Amino acid sequence: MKKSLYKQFVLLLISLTSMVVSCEVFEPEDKVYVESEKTIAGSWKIVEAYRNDVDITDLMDFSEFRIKFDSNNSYTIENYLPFVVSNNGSWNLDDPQYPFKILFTVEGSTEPLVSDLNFPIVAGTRQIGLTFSPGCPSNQYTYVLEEVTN
Amino acid sequence: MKIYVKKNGLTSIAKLFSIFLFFLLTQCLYLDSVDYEPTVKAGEVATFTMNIRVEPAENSSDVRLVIGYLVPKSWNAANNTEVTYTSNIDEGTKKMSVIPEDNLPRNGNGLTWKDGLKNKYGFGPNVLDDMEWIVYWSDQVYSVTNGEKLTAAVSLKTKTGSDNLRAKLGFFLNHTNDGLSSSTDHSKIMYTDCFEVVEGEGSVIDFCELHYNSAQPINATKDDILTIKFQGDIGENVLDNAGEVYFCGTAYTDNGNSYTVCGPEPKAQMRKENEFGHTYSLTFWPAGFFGIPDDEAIIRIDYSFLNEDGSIELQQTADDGTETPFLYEFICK
Repeated sequence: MKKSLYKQFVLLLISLTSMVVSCEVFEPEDKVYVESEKTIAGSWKIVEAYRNDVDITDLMDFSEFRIKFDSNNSYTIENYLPFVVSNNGSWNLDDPQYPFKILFTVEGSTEPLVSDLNFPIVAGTRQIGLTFSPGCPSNQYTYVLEEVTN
Repeated sequence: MKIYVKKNGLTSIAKLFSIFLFFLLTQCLYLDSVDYEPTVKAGEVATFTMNIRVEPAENSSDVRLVIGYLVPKSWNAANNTEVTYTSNIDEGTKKMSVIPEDNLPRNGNGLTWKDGLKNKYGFGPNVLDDMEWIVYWSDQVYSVTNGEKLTAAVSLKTKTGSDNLRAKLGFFLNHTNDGLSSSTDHSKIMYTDCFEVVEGEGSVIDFCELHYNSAQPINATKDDILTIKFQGDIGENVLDNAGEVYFCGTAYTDNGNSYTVCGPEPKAQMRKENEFGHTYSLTFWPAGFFGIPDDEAIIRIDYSFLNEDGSIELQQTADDGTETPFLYEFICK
């Protein structure tokens, strides 16, 4: 019986101690979540194409077009098709953390050409959606690009 | 217990009936007619008047009248249209404005008003898709009461573009409390007969009827992507028995040069759109397709359609029987 009382006393002591500890003021760590910078470095191909919101992916061969974004902010285009720019140059995002526009500056030019940018992950794959008018301004094209994996 | 079930059953039937009655009673929007002159000169103002009745069977507040307007894109109608109305409950003329993009219809599944209408009605009875929906709402917000009988005449005045064209324009009627629901009680749609813009630039762009040829988009430069179609299904023609159909075209540029691609060769072969029909299409980037130098612009393409060995050619036939190539003019506004 004495032993049992002693046991109860110890348990009570532990409970009280933990209560006291749990009553300590919580000091939140001084950490702020920072959105990671997005990178588009790599070689990209067209997987979907739209003209004035109409899907034209299967009407023309878009498969050979490539745009390679280098991490040093230069880009090169292979097998050109109507695009934001027709020559190689440099690229920048309007906001590396929350990009909504991509700026292409053709070699020898100082004025960048701007395209709207989407940067979703679809079925586990990162995509880039670019919207632009390479010809008549009344026509709008959207290409959905996926990174080429070899 | 049995009685309870019966009572509950009766209550359910009564509830269902009430819901049915509610929907029956809320039939309230009518588009009686659209008045218009069937022809207008290019660049002049076309006026369309929608005659509307609103007969609410319930009290509603904070509601706006909504009008959808299907027009050729080349009109740039959002910037060239004035929409006003008169009604039996307003004094004077009231205005309607384009609905802001960030205001979504209540039952539009997250789409904007114009995308919702495009999704629901496409381009109506038109055969070319270079059209757009523009959606307006009344600047004034209304409260309506059960049993009211409202009439309104909505006037849409649009400065037409410079293209010669024929199109079936669309007029849609709805209100913000409904917001593109599937109920036809709260919305109505009507299309004009073939409305014509005459004495403008270029050959007539026909949205109304299929022809052996079609080309899209209507406005383009050499750096657009062009789709040319051969629509052999619309009538008997010399290519009915062709196993394959090829494009034969010559691009004329602004410095007097011409560049020809004429089948049979792989890049000129047109794609059959489905197994059973005779509609073929070719989609291409004109500058790359014809090999146009950077410093030249294409003015027009003359084209025709060929069978596999090039022995049979289909061109357009004038009323006097004369055959000439189809024409696509590169116009960009």
